[in-house]
Amino acid sequence: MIFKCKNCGGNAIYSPEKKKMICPFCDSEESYERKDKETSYGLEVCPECGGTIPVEDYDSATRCPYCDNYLIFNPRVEGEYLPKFLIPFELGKEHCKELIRNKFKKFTFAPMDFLSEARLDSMQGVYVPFWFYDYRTNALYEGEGTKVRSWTSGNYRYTETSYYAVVREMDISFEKMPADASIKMPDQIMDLMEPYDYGKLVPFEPKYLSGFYSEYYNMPSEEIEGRARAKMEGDAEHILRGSISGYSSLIRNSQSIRVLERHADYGLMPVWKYIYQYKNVDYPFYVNGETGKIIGTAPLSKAKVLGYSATLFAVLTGIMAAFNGILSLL
Amino acid sequence: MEFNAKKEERKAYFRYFRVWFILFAIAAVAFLVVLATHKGNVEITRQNTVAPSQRVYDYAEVLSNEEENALTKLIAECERRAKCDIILVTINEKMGKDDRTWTYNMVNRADDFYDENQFGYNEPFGDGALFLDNWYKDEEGSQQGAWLSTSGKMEWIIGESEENTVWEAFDEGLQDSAAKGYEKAIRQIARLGERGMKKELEPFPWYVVWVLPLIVSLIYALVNMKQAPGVDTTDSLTYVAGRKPHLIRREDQFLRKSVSKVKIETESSSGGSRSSGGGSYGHHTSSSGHSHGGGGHRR
Repeated sequence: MIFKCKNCGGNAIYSPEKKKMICPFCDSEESYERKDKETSYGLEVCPECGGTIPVEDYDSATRCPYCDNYLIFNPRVEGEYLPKFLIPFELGKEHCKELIRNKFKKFTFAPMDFLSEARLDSMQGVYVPFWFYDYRTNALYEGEGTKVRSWTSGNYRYTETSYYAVVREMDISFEKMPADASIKMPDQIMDLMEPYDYGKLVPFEPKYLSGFYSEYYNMPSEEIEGRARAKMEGDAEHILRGSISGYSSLIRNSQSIRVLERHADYGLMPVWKYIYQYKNVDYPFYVNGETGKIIGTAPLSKAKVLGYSATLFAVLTGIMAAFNGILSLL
Repeated sequence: MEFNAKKEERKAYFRYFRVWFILFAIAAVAFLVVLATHKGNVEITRQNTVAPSQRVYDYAEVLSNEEENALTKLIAECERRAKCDIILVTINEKMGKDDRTWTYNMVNRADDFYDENQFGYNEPFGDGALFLDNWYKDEEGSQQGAWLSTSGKMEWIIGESEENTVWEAFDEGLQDSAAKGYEKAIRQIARLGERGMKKELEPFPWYVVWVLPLIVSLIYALVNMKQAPGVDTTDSLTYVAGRKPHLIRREDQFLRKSVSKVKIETESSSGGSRSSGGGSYGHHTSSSGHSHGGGGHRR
């Protein structure tokens, strides 16, 4: 499918800045229509220009490299692959470029063109598939705590230790515990992208994908649930322990986190992706398309590290030598 | 306009180090100015023409003529090295039985002697130290003890810990003879003076000139190379509905109690104490209105 401008026939896309569909050719707003075009040659052929599109296994939306139209693949956003919800991109490309520039402008040892306009312009907006897990749990902690009190009387120091049976039981409902369902996206990086503001969630509509790249889930919810469950159990344990205070020491006798109800939903989250290539190595950067949180490390220019450190060494040595020379003469 | 990485790199480099380059230029110019105006090592000579040349005043008559001459010679040599006047005065006078009176009288006697004679290496009332030793003893007890009165730069060079080194040297020599005690004390005063007078002008060792910048540069490189991909900004309540778990049971039930007791070991006082009196007297003003430092050592 493709979204077309009713006025000029250009490719209408979703604008994060205006929060509506726009036509970048005639500047019209919210004047679009969906065209369900397909070719008999499959997804790899652009229905607009006939060019060959490099479609990867899990791509659900992409851009034709020949006619620059954003295409959404119907079979990959419908039926079992229909996302329940998504957070539309809140931050546009220009805003993200500015965020990256601000974050790394003080990083002295990055190569000079790391933050150049041309490089940053290659940034892509991607909707990443996530499974969201809801858990209704019962968490129980049983342990023994001690309270210690000391005082001095005469020539003796007394220590009193009181022992307590400590029990905490809670019902904890976790909502939308996320785990990304994309092989291409590193799990650790996607975990660091969190949290998203779920107040911005909207029911899925294909129009939000127009202007961006997208994937559908690469694996079923059961396959990656272990990650979400481990996070949930860690959080539950932390909550239980956080509710116990005032003890000098605490020994756990037993602890259980029982899942009473479980539910999984499939949704899409917005991520800006910028890959900087330096000396044949890829340095990926990810920006949360909703909150602007940036994850990634800048490349190090060895020449800069050496040059700047050597300069500092030379200048400091020069200053100290001059100072010492003055002291010697006086 | 096409992006010229090399040109931008150069611009960024000079912008980044501009303050350092300016500091370096200032240091270099200062060095050249000092070098151009430097007149070689000028010996600092004694400037005070008012004070008497006598340095040993043996009113208590505890020194032989030979000993007096030897000490005068030693003081002359020490003064040249330490750039401060050193005066030795021995007395045999009642200074008071109790420590307070003794200290009060010794301070005044030492300070007044120094000021009345207008001692000082660089100027009258200037840099110097006066060693006053009292030998008075009668049937009621001993009022023996020494006092060190310092003036000018010596007032700041000889603090309480430095004074103690003088007393230690004095005591050590005194076991042989009074002259030996004075000799050791004078040598120690001169050593302290020599070290202290040089301190403000002494350059640091040359290896520091490159070792310190090397350490700073390494730290700079490491600090600027360090970066983390990002920080976890979630907490345990991020995905909990309403950020509020529902507490069903909260029990803190008392089980038992145990009490232990340990005897407190007290340190018994040990060792004898030195005779009191003296000690550091701190900075003060003499009756003639000049600043002095110093302290005493009663025996």
